Amino acid sequence: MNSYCARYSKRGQLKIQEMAFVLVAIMVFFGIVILVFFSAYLSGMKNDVNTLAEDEARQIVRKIASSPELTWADKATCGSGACIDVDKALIMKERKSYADFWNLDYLRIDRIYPTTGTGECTLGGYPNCRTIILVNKTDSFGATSSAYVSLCRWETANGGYVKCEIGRIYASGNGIK
Amino acid sequence: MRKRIRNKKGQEEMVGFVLIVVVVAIIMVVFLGIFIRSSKSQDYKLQSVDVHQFLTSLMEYTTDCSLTYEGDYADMSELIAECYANPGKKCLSGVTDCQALNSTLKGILDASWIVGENSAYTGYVFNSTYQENLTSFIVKKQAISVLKGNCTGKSFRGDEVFFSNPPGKIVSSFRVCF
Repeated sequence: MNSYCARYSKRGQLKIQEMAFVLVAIMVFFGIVILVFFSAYLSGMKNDVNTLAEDEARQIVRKIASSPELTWADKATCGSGACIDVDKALIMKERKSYADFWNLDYLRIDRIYPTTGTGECTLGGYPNCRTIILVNKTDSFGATSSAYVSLCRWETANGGYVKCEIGRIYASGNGIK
Repeated sequence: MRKRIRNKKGQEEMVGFVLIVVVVAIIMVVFLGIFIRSSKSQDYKLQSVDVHQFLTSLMEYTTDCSLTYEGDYADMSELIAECYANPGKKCLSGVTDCQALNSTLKGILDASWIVGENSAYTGYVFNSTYQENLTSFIVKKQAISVLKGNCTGKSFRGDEVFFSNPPGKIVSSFRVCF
């Protein structure tokens, strides 16, 4: 009776051990799967954080266009509020006292469409030009953030009308961090 | 007799352990399933501030098409609405509203979004659709569509803007693929 009991218990113990090993292996497997999944998920979150930071910078850059010193005041032609009055921008470019106004190292406005014209814009040269550099304090201004804006002006041809074009504003410096 | 009781106890503990592992595994699978499903349905991730800003500036662009008198040039949103409502109507310059819309839109898209092998973008799709909510269904009619490059992949960013066009509205969407 005693020897029978001993044999039975050894078998049972072996089976229990086997089962325990299998269960531990299952748990380790699940642990690894979860680790891989979360590492992939966290890397995705890092990308999201970068995208959000970029988006925030774009919004700040676009806000520059809606400051009273640059904005196109007529809301009937500019519903978005992100329209730059090109004449204001060209006058600001000439006034060096505005260089520290936005606390930026670099501020440039590009005319994207129409694609006619090249080079930097002057008061008399618009619209046959491409860029208006408002602030350029240093050569090493780093990476710029940019946003699409409308570039509006009063066109005197055909009795006079408001002409809005597609532009992009680029900025870099402490003011957009 | 004592050994038997001990064995029984060990087996009971084992059954408990197995139950815990099975329950934990099921919870993990359910949790992962819910998590993957919810992350798939998060469309907001596809929205792009850059595209939204582009679309709002695009709608304000003053075209060269004057439909009433010289100097009253339509902006892009007006031209899209006009091309949808009166496709053959001529601008004062002689071209039809839809031709003017097509050429201007393609020019702006080409200048704003560089697509191709040397670019990060593989293609783009622009769509403007007239939408009207009726009591039982929504009427959708396409006003204009512009497609360039390859935009069939899953990696894209986009957004849409809309403006009123009674009795409905015109929804313009833009998607850039990479």
